[in-house]
Amino acid sequence: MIATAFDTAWPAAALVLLAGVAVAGLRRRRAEGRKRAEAKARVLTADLDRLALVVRNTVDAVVITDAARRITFVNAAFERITGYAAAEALGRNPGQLLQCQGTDALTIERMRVALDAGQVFSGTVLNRAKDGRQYWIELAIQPIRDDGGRLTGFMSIESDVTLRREAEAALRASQTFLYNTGRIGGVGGWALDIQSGVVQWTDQTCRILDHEPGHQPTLQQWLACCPPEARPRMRQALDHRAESSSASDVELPFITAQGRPIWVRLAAECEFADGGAVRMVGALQDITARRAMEADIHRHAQLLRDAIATIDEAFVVFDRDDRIVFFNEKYREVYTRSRDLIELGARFEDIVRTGAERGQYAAANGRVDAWVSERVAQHRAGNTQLEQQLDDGRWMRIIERRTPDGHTVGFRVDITDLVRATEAAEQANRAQSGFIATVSHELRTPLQSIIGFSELGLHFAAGQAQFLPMFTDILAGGRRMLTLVNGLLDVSKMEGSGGALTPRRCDLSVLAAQVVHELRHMADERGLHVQGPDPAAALPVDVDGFRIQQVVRNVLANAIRFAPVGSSIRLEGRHGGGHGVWLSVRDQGPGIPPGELDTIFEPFMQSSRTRDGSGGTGLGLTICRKIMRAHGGRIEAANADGGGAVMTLWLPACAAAAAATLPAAPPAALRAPDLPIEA
Amino acid sequence: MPPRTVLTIEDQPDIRRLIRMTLEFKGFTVQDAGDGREGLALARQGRPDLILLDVMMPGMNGKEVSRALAADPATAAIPVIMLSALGSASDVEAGLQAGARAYLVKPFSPWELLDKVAALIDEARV
Repeated sequence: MIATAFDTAWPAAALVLLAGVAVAGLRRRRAEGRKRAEAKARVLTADLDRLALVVRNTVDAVVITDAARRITFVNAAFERITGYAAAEALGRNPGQLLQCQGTDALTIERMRVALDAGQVFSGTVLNRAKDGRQYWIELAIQPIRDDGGRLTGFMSIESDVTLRREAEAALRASQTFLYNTGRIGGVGGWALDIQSGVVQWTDQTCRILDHEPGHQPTLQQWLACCPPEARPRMRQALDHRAESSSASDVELPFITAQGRPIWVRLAAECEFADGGAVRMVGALQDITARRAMEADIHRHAQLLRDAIATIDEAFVVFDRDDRIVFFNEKYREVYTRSRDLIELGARFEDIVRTGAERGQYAAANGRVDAWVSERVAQHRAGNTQLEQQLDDGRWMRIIERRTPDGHTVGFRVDITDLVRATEAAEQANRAQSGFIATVSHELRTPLQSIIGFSELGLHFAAGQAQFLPMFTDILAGGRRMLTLVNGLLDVSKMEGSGGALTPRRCDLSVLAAQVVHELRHMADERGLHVQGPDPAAALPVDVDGFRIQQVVRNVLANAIRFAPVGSSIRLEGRHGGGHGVWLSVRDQGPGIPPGELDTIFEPFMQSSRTRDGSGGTGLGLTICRKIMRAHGGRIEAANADGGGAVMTLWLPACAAAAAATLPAAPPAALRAPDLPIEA
Repeated sequence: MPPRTVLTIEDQPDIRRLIRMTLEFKGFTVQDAGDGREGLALARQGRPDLILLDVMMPGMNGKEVSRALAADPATAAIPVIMLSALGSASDVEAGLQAGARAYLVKPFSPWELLDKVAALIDEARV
């Protein structure tokens, strides 16, 4: 039914489309005689049928409204585009029917103003179909007037331009994308027509080469960007006949339009048509920054190589497959028999195995396989330090370390001199130990008879007055001799290298107090009062207690020997925090002649005050000084202000006690004026 | 109580005489050996109450003799006093490690020797 109604309406509508005036005329003449009218109508009908066919079949939507803009006609294209059947559209306002939220309000307003004024309007608006799909139409609206010029309606022809708009948007996006990637990557494009020689640059290429966008050079101008020495390479890259023409990629120095030197990467591909090359196309990239960075890296690597080549130690780097990736000449020089094996790419195991077979390594002789597997295992452990003797007697220290990425870095340091010096020192040490043992035995063993028999003699001769002085003298002589021998042995032990001391954490106050106790009978015999040290004031030291007691014993025995009968001797300790500890022994004797304050420590330089036969071998203080020096300490002699001699021992602070538990400075009470040594 | 027997193993004749005189004076029975081998044989044969052993001797030295004594069940229980002119702490330690019960540094006093001998024999009897 609807289709039939449309069909009858088609001729009139088509007439209006082609010529509104003709339709009006037709209507006017309808009142006139039917026959005449029919005759005319037959003529027109043929034209109108053709017009109706066009309207029916056009892809554009056609809408006709009355003056109040109510739809009076739509074509099939309208129905297809909008989804509304003609019956649904008739009588409706097109705007109310089709506009949606996305429709541009300004455009609608412009349209309204134009139509109100009875003017033509054209524009593009977003509409919504019946199923909700949105689409763009380009529309052209014309007012329809009757013969009298009165507005009777509007005719609108509408094209669906959705696909075109989408394609345009996609093209714009694609162009923007290309432009941005080219700009960001510093990549431009170019084309060269082989027939005509015409060159095309993209804007990005123009920019890279300091030209205004749009610049199109000749081929000669383009080639001139490249300095003469590099130009042949550029020519070859652009030559479609060249071997590489199907695709080439070169890096070239360029000079830009502004005289700026840059590096570019020129990639080219040949396009073929009908079996022949027609066009070269490609990319042009600014790689100046990358080249600069590469040059920088190269320079640094070269510097490192030069530095390693210059150092006097052998250096080598193996990769993760244990092949040499770097070595300096010194490394090759070390291994005289395997020199020819050492080259880039050589495997570690091959070098040492062939070297071992040739007798390069002293320790491998006669057991090459075992030695090689031990050596390779050490090498693979990646954290090796070992000493290796070569066939010519030289000793190498081998240091190998694994890098985080699995390379092995190796050093070879010639320690031949060190090994020989150590061996010599060890030999000397052994010789000295042997000497000391021999001397001890040879000198002390005879003293066993002298001292032992004289002691027995003294006992058995108790009732025979004439023998007593003899045995007494033999015993005293033996003991003096023993003291001298012991002293000589001590001196030579102290001069030996190391091993003489076994330091432990001790309290110097306690060590001194034990000596005081030990010598109390000797002091009592002379009626001496020995004071101190204060046992409550700890004096922590890291020392060989036996040796330090030997010093204290010697010093205290001297004081006891020289102090006037009935006088007192004072031992005083002092803690200097990180500055070490002091122990002084002060007597009230005659003191030491000023000229002898230093010489009393020399061997056999007995003080004038001891030459009266009061004992001593002349080695006691020499040994004391050697012991103190072996501990990093000192012993000094002085005369106290109030008379008497003061011997002061100083020992360095022990490591842990330096700061934490002890005061930084000694308490004021301990800063006695008679302690002559200050830190 | 039978007389207590002390074996002296010492290469120096004068020191052997000194020790003999000292110990006999206090009622000990003394046997002498001039070297290690002879001393070992006497020790196995005579089972003395105590052995005085010199360290530095030609041939078998005192430490070797001490270890041999300790290794032999027949002599392992006999206390040994080492005698040596070497008196450093490490020398003493080495002697004690070789099995000696005491270590006397030469020259020692006869009275010191008697004290040590008596003390060790008493200890062994207990």
